[in-house]
Amino acid sequence: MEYSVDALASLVVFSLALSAALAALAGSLEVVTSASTRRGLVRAALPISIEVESLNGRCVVRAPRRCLVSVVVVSPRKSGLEYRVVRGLAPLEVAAAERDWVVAFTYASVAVRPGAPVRGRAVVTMYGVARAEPELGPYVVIGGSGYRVVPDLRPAASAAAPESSAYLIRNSTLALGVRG
Amino acid sequence: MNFTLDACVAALILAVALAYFADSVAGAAWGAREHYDDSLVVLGRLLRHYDLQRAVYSNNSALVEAVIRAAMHPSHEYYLAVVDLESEAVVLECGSSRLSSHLASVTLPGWNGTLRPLVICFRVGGGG
Repeated sequence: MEYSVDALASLVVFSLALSAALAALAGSLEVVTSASTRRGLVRAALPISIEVESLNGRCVVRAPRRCLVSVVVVSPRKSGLEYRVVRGLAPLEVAAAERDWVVAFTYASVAVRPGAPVRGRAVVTMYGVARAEPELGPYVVIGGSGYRVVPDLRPAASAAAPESSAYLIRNSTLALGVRG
Repeated sequence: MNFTLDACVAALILAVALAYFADSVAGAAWGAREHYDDSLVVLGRLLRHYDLQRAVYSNNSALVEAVIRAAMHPSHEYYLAVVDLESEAVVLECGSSRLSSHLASVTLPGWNGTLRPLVICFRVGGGG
């Protein structure tokens, strides 16, 4: 009888402890799985979205917040390319003819308004037209009437919670990685 | 009585193991929320373009904000403080001081041929 009571008491104590441990483990599994899935960056995007708006021989560069923008106006000429760089705070208005290319930069975004076709190939950075592809992105490669933005990333969504995103360098450009 | 003692010892072992596991899980979850590199990545990229140095040494807080905003997502917040090493005083401060993310700091030796060490403290975070 004494052994029976002892065994019963031990069974109750151990069962309670085991149940509590298993319940806590099951509750922790959700935390662990969500933490492990959050770590993976599923896509990279440019942190800012800027746009170039044409207005009767002028262009306005707009950004979601007041920030420093660099605008390169590239003018195709018979003798080659001419360009000028305008820097200022958004919204920034610059004079540009219809045949001019207008390329606006921040450190992490690009907007292009195409112009007349250019001869050969031109690499446009935020500091002007370069001879070779620069070390720091983003930049735009113009060839003929087409162009290519490097890196080829889309702007991030208007809402990107810091808890679910992280800054990183992608193709020499500051990008925002969004966690899955 | 022996069985009960064994059960108590086993329950104690379980409790210790559970506490260790809970501590590990809490550490893993906390680490997933923190982004140690965000401030360093953004600050490092800003310094490579030299506009931030120019704004800091001209003591122009509006330009500092415009420069930083040119690199960050519009919904993210930042905090930047500039400390003069000689006077040990904060000479410039902008952004939200309520952020609690990790702080990156860098020491600038000077600007445009002058020796004037400044420490830039910078952090990126959400809606402070």
